[in-house]
Amino acid sequence: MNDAHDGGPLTLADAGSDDFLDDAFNRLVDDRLAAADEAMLDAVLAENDAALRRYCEWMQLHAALQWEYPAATVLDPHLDSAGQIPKAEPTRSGDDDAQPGPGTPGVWAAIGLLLLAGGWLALLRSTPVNSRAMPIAQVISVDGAAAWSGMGGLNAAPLVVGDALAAGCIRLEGATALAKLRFNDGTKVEVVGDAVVEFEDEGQKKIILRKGNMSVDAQPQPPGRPMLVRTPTAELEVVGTEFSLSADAASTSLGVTEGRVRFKRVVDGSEVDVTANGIATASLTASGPLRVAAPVDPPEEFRETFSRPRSGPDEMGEWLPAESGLPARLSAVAYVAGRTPAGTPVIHHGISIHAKQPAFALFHRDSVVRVKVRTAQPAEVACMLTLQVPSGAFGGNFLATVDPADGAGLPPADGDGWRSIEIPASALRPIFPEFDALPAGARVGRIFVNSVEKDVELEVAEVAIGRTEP
Amino acid sequence: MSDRAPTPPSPEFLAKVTAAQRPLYGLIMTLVRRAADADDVLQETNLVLWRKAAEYDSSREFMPWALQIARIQSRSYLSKRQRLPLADSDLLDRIAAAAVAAQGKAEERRLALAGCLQKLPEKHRLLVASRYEPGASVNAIAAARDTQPKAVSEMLRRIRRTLLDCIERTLAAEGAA
Repeated sequence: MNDAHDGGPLTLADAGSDDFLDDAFNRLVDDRLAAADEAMLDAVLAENDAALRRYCEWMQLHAALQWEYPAATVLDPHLDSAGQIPKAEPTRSGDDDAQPGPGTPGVWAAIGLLLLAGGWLALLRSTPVNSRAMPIAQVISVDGAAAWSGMGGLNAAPLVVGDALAAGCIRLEGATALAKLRFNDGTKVEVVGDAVVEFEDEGQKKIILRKGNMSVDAQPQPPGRPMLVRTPTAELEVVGTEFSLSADAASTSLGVTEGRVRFKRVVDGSEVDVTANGIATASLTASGPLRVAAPVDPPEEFRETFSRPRSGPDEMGEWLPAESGLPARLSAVAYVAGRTPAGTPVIHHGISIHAKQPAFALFHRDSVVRVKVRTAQPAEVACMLTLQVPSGAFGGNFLATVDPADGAGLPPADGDGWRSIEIPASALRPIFPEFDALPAGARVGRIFVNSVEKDVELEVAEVAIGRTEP
Repeated sequence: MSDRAPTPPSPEFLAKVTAAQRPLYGLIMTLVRRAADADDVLQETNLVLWRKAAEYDSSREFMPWALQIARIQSRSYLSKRQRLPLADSDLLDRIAAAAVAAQGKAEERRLALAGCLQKLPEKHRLLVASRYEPGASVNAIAAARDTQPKAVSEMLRRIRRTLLDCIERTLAAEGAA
């Protein structure tokens, strides 16, 4: 068990008290109980039947929440005033994707295979939304690892350009993944990077952005039936407009390019209308009024030396403090960068830093990226920038690789193996054909530094952005 | 899975396995304690159930048989990973017995939990949703909120205690009705 436990060790003197037990069980389920404390807890459980019953209640709750967490994201309109839910949920007759009965062996065989393959997780833990199997959108562009699954997690399949999709869920893996859909009314939705998006349209479009970045170019929606978009922290009502959205578990950032979006912060229910060139952010830790702001230009230069641990969303890398003459740094961690056509994960080892609003820095044709890295052995190092446009919408991923073995005029490594690398903007290549040039007003939202499909114990001590001619 | 799959079980058998997933997961989590381990053991348990489908006597109750297989798989998993003394002691059997006994009211508790989640303040519900999203952790939530993991964990402790008390009150009220 994790040795990085909270609040000091448990004390045997308190063992068996309700507070002791709740504290210990809570640390246990959050993987924050030291091994020695877990052993002490086991000793208490072995001697105390009441503690054992309490333990079972905690663990059963923990297990149940693993399944029920989607229910915690929304208020259920079907609840009665006492918060009770119906004992049996009715099945919609005639739905093409209704839950199968015992008389549909083909479907049950598929369920059996899913159970064996671990697909039970998606199948049984999800909260199905009423939907039909009618195609409602077409795939118009795909890059990287992107898959669609129908409601309930059935029929997971890689996305292919031209596919007609019914209501369901799209999952993208890796920063270089992209999927673009066109709904039947012409509304376009573009999803990039690690993202999970659910969508349906039964006369009213509903989209849930669980996490990731999404840009929407919405056609005028039917009167009285605006497009509804939900994230873990915000709800949007869209009549017809162009906007981008970035969401994770803790916050949602909206940038409107054209038109108007009603933006509601879930945590306190406050709402604002966001119009063209307006941005707004909703988080779980809201403390003031929800405000619309104009985009703020980030600085021309940025420099990160990792003197303190970072706390940006979805960042990667293990922080190591300065010690023994070595600078503070981030050590690479393994991550899934994408998948091969056969579905095999592509593992990279690297770090990433992710700007909160505003972005790290503006990025121009004469900008330069500087990174200070070292590796345990000579290896190709890649640096990728995720650019944004002023509204916060995705502006493309741009990549450069540096290989010490090709003698490309790299400066020599110092005595500790550190090498400072300069990458001019001209050396960066677009990942996506749709974003093949620096967008107007480009700014850097995220920076990745990684080795390619090989762990070479990459460490990064500095990442900077500047200009060759200030 | 390198083993050849035996004859596929009947739709009725698979329906029972599907319906048993939550109780199986509850028992396994109680025994192995970590979500990632519980996921692995549930998958292994499903595999064993699939293989043993032909041995299942449909005149017997399914759930006790499935729970017994889950218990065996959990012990085996803990032994392989040298998670001692838990795997080695009779504590595991006592925990399993208590957890199986608790299964009798599992469905009532699940329904009560769904109602209790809806009674939480919105920010508490969202914290629960964040914590239990696949792959989430207290550390990641704390980093996203610019706060200490201990503060997040303490908030979760209070929410979990609230949910457990609410479940008990709900079951007591239903029992009295």
